[in-house]
Amino acid sequence: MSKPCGRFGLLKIAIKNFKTYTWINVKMCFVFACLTFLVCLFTSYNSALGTKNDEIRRTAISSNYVAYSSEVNKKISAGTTEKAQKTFSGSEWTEFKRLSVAQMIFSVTKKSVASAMPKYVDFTFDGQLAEPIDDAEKFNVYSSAFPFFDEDYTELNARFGENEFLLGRKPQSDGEIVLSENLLKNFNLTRDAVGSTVQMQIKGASSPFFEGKIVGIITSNYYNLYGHISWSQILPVTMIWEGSKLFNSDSLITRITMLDDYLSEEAAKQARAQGFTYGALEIVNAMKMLDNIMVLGNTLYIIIGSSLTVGLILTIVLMVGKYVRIFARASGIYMTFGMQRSQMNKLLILQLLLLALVSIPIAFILTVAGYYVIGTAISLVTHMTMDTSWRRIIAMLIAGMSVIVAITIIFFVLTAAKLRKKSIKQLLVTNISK
Amino acid sequence: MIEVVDVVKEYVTSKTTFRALNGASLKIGDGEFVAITGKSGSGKSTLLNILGTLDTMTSGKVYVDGVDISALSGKEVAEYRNKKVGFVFQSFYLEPGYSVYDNVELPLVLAGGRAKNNRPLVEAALSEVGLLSKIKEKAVNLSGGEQQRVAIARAIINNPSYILADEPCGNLDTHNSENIMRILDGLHKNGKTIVMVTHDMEDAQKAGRIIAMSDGKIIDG
Repeated sequence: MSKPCGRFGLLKIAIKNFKTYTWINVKMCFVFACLTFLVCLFTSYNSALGTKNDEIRRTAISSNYVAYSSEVNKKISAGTTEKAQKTFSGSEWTEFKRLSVAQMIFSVTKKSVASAMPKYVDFTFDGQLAEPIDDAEKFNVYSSAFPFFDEDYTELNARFGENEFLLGRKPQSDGEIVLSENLLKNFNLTRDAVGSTVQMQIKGASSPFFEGKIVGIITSNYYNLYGHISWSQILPVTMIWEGSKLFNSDSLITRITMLDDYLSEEAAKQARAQGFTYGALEIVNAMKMLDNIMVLGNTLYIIIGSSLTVGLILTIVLMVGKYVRIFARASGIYMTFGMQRSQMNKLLILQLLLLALVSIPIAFILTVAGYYVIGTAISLVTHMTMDTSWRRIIAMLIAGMSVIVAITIIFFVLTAAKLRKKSIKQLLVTNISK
Repeated sequence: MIEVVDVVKEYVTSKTTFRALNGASLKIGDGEFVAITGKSGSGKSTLLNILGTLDTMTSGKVYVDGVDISALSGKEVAEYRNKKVGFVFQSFYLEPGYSVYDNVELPLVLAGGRAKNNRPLVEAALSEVGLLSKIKEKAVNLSGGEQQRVAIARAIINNPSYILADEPCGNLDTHNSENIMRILDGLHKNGKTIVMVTHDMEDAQKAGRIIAMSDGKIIDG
């Protein structure tokens, strides 16, 4: 006798059955693919949220870093004040457009009265500064060198009476300056500096610089320096203010809170305690908002995703039931005409492999297409970026294949267990029309 | 030759035990055309299923050509069903989505036959039942009589010694029944041993021998 039904015979039957029961097979493949897609989307969505969360946390750390004056690198040498200019890479900070010039270092182009007042600007990394106006809905854009603030001697007189002076007097001629005590401290100078000449050099810049004789020290919360005539140029330095937008609206932009000063860590804590908002706190708020989005998003996802998943699983159960009945009856026929029981399991494996093979490309197409569509929608609404790299897609495909393989294995085990103890006669009389 | 010795078949459920065959014994010689008759529940189909190894017996022995079929291994019993016996059922048990050709070819595929060798055999079997013209049709599109003729072609494709037919005319009208009985008679004349279960005495009369069953026992024949 020839060997009954070799593996090619089984493969031939498996392929024939796949073609014969096209409709249920295609439906099975589609449902497998949908389930895979849901799994992939769920993991990607969570990954995107996690990435965004990490990004904002990193930003918060950065913001805190620059918010504290103690972190700013300052150098001072005899007669020279040099303050490190922190540089930013545009590509690194694309989400954080807003820089504060509250903590700016300034140079005086003329021997003059100069003051650096806290302002928020939009820093585009090309040397331009923008000052928010009308509640930050619009911006005035300036070149890197612009007359920012001028305050003449009369105004100085009006603002600071004699009693405002801790030491010394008002400037009376070119080359004479007064410093705020804060600025003095910031430059690591003591009150003994009165009478000495200091030179302020912007790191990395050949010009401008300022040189003047300190003739007085005033009380001020600001980092002020007054000369005889105001004419100043500002350069933004280390302070960054969070402008990351979670949603496509200007809600966060218009909620810019102006920093009053170059906050020390202690001052920042006090300000927060009093309900003031500063850069880092905005990020904290943004994170809270993100948390809310995550809660909302996860809730929606759980409701919709669970409904879809339950629906799909029920569909799978129904279809698997139908598939098992068809297979049982067919197996009864095959065994009646010479198939061994062990070959029935092999045939089932072959048929399920065919199902899996067809499901995987469908899952891939659904996943990639759906991922792009949903990813785009999410990024439009929330500014969350879903990773659409091929690496991610291949990872998803592997995850999808794993899901399909897992389903297939479960499917096989359940089917084989269900049919194992049935006699051929019982298999033959299986009602497939249920 | 088929020899059935004191075969018992019990169906056990959680509540009851039903004895479908109660010590049935009989002998069927080579080339016989035997009709097994009896009322519903008399055990005639159960006996046929045991002869065909579609079901197992609780006790007893069945010898086919001197071989105890209950002692066959899984592979041997599959070969027995593939080569030694051919089955015809009341409900045809065709694969409805398969073509006539595919249905008839099935035992050849299961026997490990090469596809190019199968076609002449399939065509010959279909010619014998008068359905060669329907070779490409899907089984589901055929009439009941035609489907039963396909089932017969499938049963004889491997040239088995024994044809086991369980109510082959049970779902057919008179015309088709006569047609099927004529085909079975032709097979008998060609040397096949035919064991047919029927409750229709008119069909049974066409067999050479009638075995009557009642309550799981052979009562006549």
